[in-house]
Amino acid sequence: MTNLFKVLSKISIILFYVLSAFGMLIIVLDSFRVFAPDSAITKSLGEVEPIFSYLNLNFHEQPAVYSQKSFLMLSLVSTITTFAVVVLFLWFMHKLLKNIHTDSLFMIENVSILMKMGLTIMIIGAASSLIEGILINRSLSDVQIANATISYSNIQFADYVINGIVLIIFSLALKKAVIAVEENKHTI
Amino acid sequence: MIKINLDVMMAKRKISLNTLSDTIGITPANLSILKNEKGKAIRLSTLDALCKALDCQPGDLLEYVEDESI
Repeated sequence: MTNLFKVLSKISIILFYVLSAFGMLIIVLDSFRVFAPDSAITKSLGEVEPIFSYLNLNFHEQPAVYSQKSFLMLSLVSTITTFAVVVLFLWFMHKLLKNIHTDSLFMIENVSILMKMGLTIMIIGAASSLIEGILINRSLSDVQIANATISYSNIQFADYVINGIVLIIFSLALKKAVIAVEENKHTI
Repeated sequence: MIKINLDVMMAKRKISLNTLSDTIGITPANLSILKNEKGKAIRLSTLDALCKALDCQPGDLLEYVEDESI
C-alpha cells in the first residue's frame, strides 16, 4: 500500500514537469497572438481555436470575436490560470503523497499542503472557470441559431469554490487529528 | 503541577530502571523520561503496570504540588 503512494507521488511529479513545460510553451505561443499578432510565429500558428472544458464549439469560419485583442488577452489569462491550477495541484499532490509514503498523513506539514491546495482550487480554479465562462459566452454571441437563443450560465466556478472550501475544512480537521496523534506520541 | 515520585519508589523497592522496564514492558528510554518528569502524559495501563511492579498506589507515584510563582 505504501508503494502505491510512492508510485502516485512519482506520477504527480512527472506530470508536473511535463505539464509545466507544455504550459509554458502554450502560454508563450498565446502571448505571441496577443502581443505580436503580425509576427511570423503567430501566422504559423494558424487560426485561433480556443479549447473549453465543458463545450465543443467549432466554427466553419473564424468568427470576428476570435480576432479581438480583448478576447485573445482573456484567452491568455484563462490559459495561464488553468495551467497554474493544474501544475500547483500536481506539486501539492506530489508533496502530500511523498509525506504519506515517507512518514504519515498525520504531519503538521500536510495541514499547510492541504490548506494551500484548497486555496489554489478555490481562488485560481474559480477564477479560471469564471474567465472561461466569459470566453464561452463571448464565443456563443457569434453563433447563429434560427429559432433559439443560447447562453452559458457561468456558475461552474461555484464547484471550484465548494471543492476548495471542502479541502480547507479537511486541512483544519487534519490539524486537530495531528495534534491528537502528537499528544498520543508523547504519552508513555 | 504533577510531581512524579517514581525514583523515590524505585529506591524504596531497590529496583533498577532496566529491571523495572523489563518487568512492565516499557523501554528504558521512555521510563527514564517518566522518571525525570519530562513526559507530558501517562497511560492508565502504564500506571497500572508500575503500581503492580512496585506494589504501590497511584498516589505513591504521583503528587500534586503548587506551582512556584516567579
